[in-house]
Amino acid sequence: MKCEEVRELLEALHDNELVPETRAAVVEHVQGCSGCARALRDLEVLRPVIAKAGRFVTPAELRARIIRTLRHRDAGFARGWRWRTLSALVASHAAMIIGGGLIVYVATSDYLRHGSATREVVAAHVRSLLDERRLALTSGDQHTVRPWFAGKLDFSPEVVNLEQDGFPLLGARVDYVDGRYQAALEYTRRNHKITVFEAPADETWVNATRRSVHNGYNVIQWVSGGLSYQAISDLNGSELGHFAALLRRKSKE
Amino acid sequence: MLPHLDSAYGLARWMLRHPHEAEDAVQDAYVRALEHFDTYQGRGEKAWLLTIVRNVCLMRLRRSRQSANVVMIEDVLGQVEQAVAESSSAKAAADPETASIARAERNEVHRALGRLPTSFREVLVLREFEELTYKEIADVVGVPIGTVMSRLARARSLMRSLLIEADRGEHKNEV
Ligand SMILES: [Zn+2]
Repeated sequence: MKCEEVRELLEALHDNELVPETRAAVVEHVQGCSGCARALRDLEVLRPVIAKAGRFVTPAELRARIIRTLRHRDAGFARGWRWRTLSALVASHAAMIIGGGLIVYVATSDYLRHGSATREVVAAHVRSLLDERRLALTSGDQHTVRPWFAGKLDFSPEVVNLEQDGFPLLGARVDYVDGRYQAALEYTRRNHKITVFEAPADETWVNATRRSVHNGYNVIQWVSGGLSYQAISDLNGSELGHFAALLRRKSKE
Repeated sequence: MLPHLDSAYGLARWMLRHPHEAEDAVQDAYVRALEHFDTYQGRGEKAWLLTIVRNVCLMRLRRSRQSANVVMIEDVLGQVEQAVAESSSAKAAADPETASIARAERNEVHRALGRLPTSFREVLVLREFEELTYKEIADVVGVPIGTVMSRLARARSLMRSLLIEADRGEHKNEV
């Protein structure tokens, strides 16, 4: 690859938008070319600086105001929005599964397996956002949550308290996702909810951390101590990464 | 439960640059989202919602531009272009530039982002704060992916220039 071509693709490399082959070619060039390497560094220095601006904090009053307005506008809002969103989501997932059915049946690679699993946990997470009553146990104490799962699941999930790290535990429920009952733990960070799904890892799980983005939700999946973990939230990728790292470390202790 | 409220509010704040304006815009956007639910195609709900937020913000910007003492976008663009010209005249030493960008503080970053023309600021905000993909940004803004890429590149180079300029101004004050 020539420098000119590489320079055109540096931005996309930096934003993780290149297909693997192109990415490999660009990275290989950058490793052997000081000019392009310096251009990439110039780009990379900017991201943490922009991040210093931080995100705006939504005024709590605004949230309340919008909910009031919507209720006023549409008396059936509470049910209407939830159920219409839910049915739209369910319909789209069904369409995806039917549309992708051929591929799913033909190929059973880790990637596809993870892909469909990810879609399902995203859908389960969205369902929980839409219906807050789904939280069966509201407790932030791992010594209450852990025994609560006994008898409800055929495995014992890890329950880790991350309150001191700024991720308080809201509670737990059992959810049927990806063909089996899973433990679902809900944590929170500011106004963002994080759901962690846990289930025994079968042979389709590879021993590596996978990050992906589905419908604007960040998903991180990993395997530890024989369990598969899937953390999902609309929280930004770096904070969710921090959360996953903490959970991973503390569940080993 | 309001999905993606922080994202909606953040985008409105960056587009309108005024807290109360942003709050009103976000409220409008959610009402519209409810009314126009039939345009929601069951996927990419975050991008769908942000598209509505953006449209409401643009309408408000257009309306306020018609009132008297609002800086025209074109004027801002002129200022930015000038800043670029000034900073690129001193492009020789590259490493001090990197250092001066890394030194930028929160309020300098805010000011620099605020000085970007709206069309550049919105793509940068959607990418850096909302972590949308190029495809999602293209959907929200309603332009081809190639345009998203060129606007992002331009937005970033303007940010570099503005931050270098801000840093130089600060040092002048120190001396
Ligand atoms: Zn090169």
